[in-house]
Amino acid sequence: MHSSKRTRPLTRRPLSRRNFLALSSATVGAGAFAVACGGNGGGAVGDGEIAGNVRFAWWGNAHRQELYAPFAQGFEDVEPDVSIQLEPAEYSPYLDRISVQAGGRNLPDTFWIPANQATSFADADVLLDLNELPDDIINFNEMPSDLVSSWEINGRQVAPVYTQYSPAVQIDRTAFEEAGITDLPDDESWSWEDFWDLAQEYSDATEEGNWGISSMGAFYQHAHLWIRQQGGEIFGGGGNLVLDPDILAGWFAMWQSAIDRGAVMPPQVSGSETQWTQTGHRTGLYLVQLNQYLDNVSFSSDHDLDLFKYPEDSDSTDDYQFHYHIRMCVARSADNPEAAAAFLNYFLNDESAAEMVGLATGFPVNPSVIERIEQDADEAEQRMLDMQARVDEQPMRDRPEPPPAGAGWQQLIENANDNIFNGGQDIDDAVAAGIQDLEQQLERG
Amino acid sequence: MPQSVNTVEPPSTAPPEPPHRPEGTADRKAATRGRKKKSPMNRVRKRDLLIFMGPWTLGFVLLTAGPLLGAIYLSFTHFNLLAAPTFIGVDNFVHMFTSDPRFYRSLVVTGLYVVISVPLQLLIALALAMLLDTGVRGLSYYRALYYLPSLIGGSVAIGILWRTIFGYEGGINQILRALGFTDLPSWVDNPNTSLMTLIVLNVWTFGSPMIIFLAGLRQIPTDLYESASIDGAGKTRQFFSITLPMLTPLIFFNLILQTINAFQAFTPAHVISGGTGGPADSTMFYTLYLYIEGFTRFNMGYASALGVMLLMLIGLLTALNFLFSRYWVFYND
Repeated sequence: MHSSKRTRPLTRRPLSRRNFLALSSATVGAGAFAVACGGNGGGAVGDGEIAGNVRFAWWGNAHRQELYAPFAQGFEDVEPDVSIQLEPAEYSPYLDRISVQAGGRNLPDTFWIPANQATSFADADVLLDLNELPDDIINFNEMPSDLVSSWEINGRQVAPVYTQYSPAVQIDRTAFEEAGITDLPDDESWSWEDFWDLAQEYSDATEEGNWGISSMGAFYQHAHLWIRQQGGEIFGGGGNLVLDPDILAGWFAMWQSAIDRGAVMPPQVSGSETQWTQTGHRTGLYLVQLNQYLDNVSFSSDHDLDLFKYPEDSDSTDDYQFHYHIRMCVARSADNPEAAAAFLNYFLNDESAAEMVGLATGFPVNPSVIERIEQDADEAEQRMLDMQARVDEQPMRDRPEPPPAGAGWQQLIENANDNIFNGGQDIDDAVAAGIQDLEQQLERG
Repeated sequence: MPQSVNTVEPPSTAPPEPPHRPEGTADRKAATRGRKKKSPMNRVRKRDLLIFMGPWTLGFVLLTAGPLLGAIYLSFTHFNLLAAPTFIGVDNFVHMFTSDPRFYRSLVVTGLYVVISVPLQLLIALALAMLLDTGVRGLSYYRALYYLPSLIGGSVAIGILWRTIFGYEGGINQILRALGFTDLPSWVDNPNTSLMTLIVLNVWTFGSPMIIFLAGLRQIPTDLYESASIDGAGKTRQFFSITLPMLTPLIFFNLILQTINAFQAFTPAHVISGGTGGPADSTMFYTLYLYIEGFTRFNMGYASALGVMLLMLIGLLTALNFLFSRYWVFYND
């Protein structure tokens, strides 16, 4: 009936109610949750000495981290009294980390900050106004003064732009040629209809499992560009939400139509993996942020990835293009603010950046650095430079940064896209719910 | 159920003996009551008590009670992590119940996850524990092998592995395609199946309750089974009349623990959904939503309110479990 082992129980004492309750209470108590909170910190500008330890945080994939680590540590050769401590991270955990560090008043001394978040941090007064520093630490002389002043937030130079870039279209010429499609449209005059026709043609010309493009309705920077083509904008100059729900619904309707006609890899296939490095060998087109182009080229090293300008419809506004920014800042809590700011200045102005990091995160704002990059640019970098130059020829109307708590507009686009294409929600309902949610966030601050 | 046990082992009919009390106890108590000075022995015991309780008390105050009180305070504030918290009364709770559909959505998702995965997990754990209790050779190896998922199941690595296995090109689809199935989805990216993949992952971590069941099975006195066998009870009857009633305290214990664990599940959903709770909020666990509010949207005050609500919810469910346990848990005392 039972094994002989049963005759040798570990203990013969059955569990009593009292023992059980004691055991349960102890275990349940140990499972309680915790939320940490931070105190106040902050500091003032120091004694003018450029020395000490500087913590530097930035985001990027492993390749970008490999590029930036030696460049950042090169500052120790420029300022031997400064020691650089590196704190890299991937983009998503990076944002989580700096927000927690900000709450704990433990921000890195110098760090990159997405333009969307800059106003939130500036509003909380955790960033150092670089104008408070002695004049010779930060050198903006090589940048146009009106450009430099346009970087100010609430009249303070707390997060100058380090690099900038624009969106474009990436075409895998090799894949198109293999599919027998060699007659590509002229990107100076092509329309969205031409774009979708091309995607459709690629889907039809390739074997099952290949599509013209992956489902990219959630790519908020491209949604933003399209909204601007329609004459819309996300936020007004005063930080108020001005997004027209009909325009945003039009963006999703365009993707829905393209999915229905078979031009787009269905979301059920791609899921959330829609980056070029995830779907690149099954699609021919891609909406690219120029700062990611080199990564894509590296991923598809045996393919010829070309860059096209954005398609425009006849009724598109002519000043829709914009620069997206990666900003850099010094924490007000920095132990050695002058050293941290000098390090920021090194990023802005040191020409060794041309060779060491090049265009890995977009286009440095310093013209001298760009000139150095142009001198030694390889084919892919030259394509990037040419495309950005063509974009820059177009007029660009202002693109107001989101107000504090306004960075949630990205989640609005992503969640609405998810709810529509994965959840089957009606486009208008998803957009309305998303906008209502964002309005609540803005209201609550 | 307990009655069945009584039929196997009838209760004693002898009158209960009065509790043993050493002679002169009352006199000694009366004598010590009037004493003002404590004996050196008492002081030593007090010191030992402080030494042994100190680390735990310190840890509890600093790591549990302190943050808990902090979270309760923050739940009544607006706190965006960057600026100092401002007191807003019960606004966070009002917002939670009146204008936050995602709060309800996360409750539903978490509820489904708990209600489906915990019983399944316990069922499999009990079945395997009984299998291992049959005197199988190499028991310690099997025990270690089955316990392994409990150790690593909640890790980021397993989350990534799960995403790969249940992805469009993952192992599950490769097998199904080889069997002739077509039009297969990416299981983790389909809102109809994504939660199921997380439930499977939780069920897979059955090792911990299994070990507890195994220990419990080995504590059931064998004479119960022998008596039942003599009385003609078959295996099924023995299971339902002896094994199950005798294990109810451990079933109850595992139920409480695994329910609390399931309510607190975070890592797999975060990894598999890329931190979004998607697709279409189908993996929006309560803890993940709390995290998104706190660290993605910087609403730490609201996230604290969600945390407090979760604590109350788990507390209420645990209390209800204890309340109803008197109807089905058999204690041998």
